[in-house]
Amino acid sequence: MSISALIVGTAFLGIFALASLSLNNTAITASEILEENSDEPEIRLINASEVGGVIHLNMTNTGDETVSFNQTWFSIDGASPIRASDYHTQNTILFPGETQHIQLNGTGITSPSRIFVASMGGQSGVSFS
Amino acid sequence: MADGGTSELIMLITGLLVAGIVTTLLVASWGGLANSMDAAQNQIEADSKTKASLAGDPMQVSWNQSSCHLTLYIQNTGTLELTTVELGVIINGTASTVNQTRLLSNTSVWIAGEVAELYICPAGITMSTGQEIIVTILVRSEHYKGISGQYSFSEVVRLV
Repeated sequence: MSISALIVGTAFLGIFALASLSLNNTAITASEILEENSDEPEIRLINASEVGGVIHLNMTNTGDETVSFNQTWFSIDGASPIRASDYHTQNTILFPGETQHIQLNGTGITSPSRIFVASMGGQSGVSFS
Repeated sequence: MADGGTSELIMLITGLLVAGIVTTLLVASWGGLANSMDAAQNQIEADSKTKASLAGDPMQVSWNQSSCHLTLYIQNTGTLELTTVELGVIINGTASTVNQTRLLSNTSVWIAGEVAELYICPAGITMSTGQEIIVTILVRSEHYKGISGQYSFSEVVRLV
């Protein structure tokens, strides 16, 4: 009888060990999910102007996450979005709190009326002045 | 004495058999529970890594009624690669057909940060320039730990 109790007891111990491992994995997954959900950037287009086919604009990172120009897209007057890093090569990152003057050369767009920016969930738009 | 020894041996064997069966049942039931927990956990993880958002200007969405052509630009804002063949679009509550999908950077995979151009035909719906419509986009990730993540979002856009 004591051997039987030993077998069942060992099984219970094994199950508790597996449950602990599973709980640990769940906690790790939960923290990863929290991390995934907290990284949406916040950006704001301050102003935009066009001089001789060159577009000038000022953009501020108003959030806590860095904004990569490689993942930032501008749409002018509803046209197909263009990747910021293809036109703006001075910097690759817009840091939190930073405002940068961005110059877009060679877009082929003249007399635009509005520009919109989207970057990994962050969005902003402004009319040309 | 011999009879007592035999009955004790039978009791011992019976006890061992019962213990073995109980142990097997416990381990099997835990295994099933752990598997279903793992699957649910993987699904939540895949869903949390699957995201998308509008990359084009929602105030100026191109629409052509005669050719049934609505153009939307969607950015992969998650961390998993998205599939371009399993996209869902609902316009003003009506499921619409995605006629064509193209990645703007001419890459073959829709990785994080990339933008896809969607040509949509909301058949049976009459819309006009200046109208504001509700667009719901459903995206699906490529397989992650054997599971595909899903994400949907809705946004109001104005047609031009």
